[in-house]
Amino acid sequence: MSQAPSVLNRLSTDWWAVLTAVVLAVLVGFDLLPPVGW
Amino acid sequence: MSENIAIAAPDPSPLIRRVVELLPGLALLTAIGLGGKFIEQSIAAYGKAHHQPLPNIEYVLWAILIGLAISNTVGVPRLFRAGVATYEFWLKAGIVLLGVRFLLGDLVKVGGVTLGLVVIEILGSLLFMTLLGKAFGLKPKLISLLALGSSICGVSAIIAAKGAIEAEDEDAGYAMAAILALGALSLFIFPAIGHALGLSDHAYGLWAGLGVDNTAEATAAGALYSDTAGKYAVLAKTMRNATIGFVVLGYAIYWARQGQAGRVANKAAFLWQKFPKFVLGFLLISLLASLHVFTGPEVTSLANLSRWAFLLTFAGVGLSTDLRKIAQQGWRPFAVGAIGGAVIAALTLGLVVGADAWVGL
Repeated sequence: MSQAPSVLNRLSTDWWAVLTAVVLAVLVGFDLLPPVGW
Repeated sequence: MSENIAIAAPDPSPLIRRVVELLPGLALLTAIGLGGKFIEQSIAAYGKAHHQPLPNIEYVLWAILIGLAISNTVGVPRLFRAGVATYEFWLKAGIVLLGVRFLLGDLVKVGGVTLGLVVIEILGSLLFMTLLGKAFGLKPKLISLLALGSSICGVSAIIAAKGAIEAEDEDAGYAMAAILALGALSLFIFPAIGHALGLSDHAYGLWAGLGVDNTAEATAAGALYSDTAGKYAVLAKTMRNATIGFVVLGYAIYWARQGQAGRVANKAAFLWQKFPKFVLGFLLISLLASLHVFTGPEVTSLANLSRWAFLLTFAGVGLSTDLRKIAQQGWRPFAVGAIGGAVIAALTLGLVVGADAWVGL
């Protein structure tokens, strides 16, 4: 448990961007996010 | 014992505290981005209602101009700075998500031509900037930084190289100022030239990705032309970014041999450390799209999420460009950067037009 925040704290911007995009892709892929318009 | 536990327990997580600190700046980025979109739509609606053919100025330019106006007049208040600095994160997340619009097959097909152009651009830029820097009598390490910034990816390349070749802070500041000033100028010059020459979206996008040095400005310069041009600008720019480790390693070895920087002990580890990891995310999302993991509407949703991420990026570009600070850096590195930038823009334009005529873009 205590390891997780320290790992997240040390993530670079690049890895944060990848992680965020992958989480969004999973949410969209499993229809957990409503359709996103523009 | 119990007192110790009672003192330790209320400490909020540093991660949560950091996220809360980002909120005001994120709200400002969103407000400026939406403001840009509102102005674009209002002008279009006014033109339609009054039957007047008004030029379509993309929200990208409005968002950048609003940001520039704030940062160069009242300045960005301290409360907002942490959130505004996240624009680079949004840029990278947007690029990763944009992978959904490239199937791997297309990537190989388009990427082959683009990669050839990227290699020529990098070699030509490194050579020209080095000769130009010497002609202007700049310090050797400043020349290296300017050459790297112009040939690969602007500020990121300069930051990556600064430590590797043990350059001075002042030189890195000069090089970054020159690259940022040119990036701001290219937002206005590139689309104007592209329209004057009637370049296709594909050709213009590749040119913007090859010719504009900083990733955020290259993405913006592409998006200012069209959505499709923005997509190809990101592709070309991402390919340039992917080469950063190799070129910086070359410079690090050169300066180590001159006895003016430490030796690189583990070259593979060095390459991995300098490699922009978001490129891997871009390829992963592209692979998932190629395997038809996403349905049509899901691809549209992910592409739109990428657009929202870029909207925050463009607001951040304007807010982070302080023209007064750039002006303080002196004219010489800027002159080298400007001459180099103009020559590289002409070289890359020639490459793209040539490739268009040869293989058809």
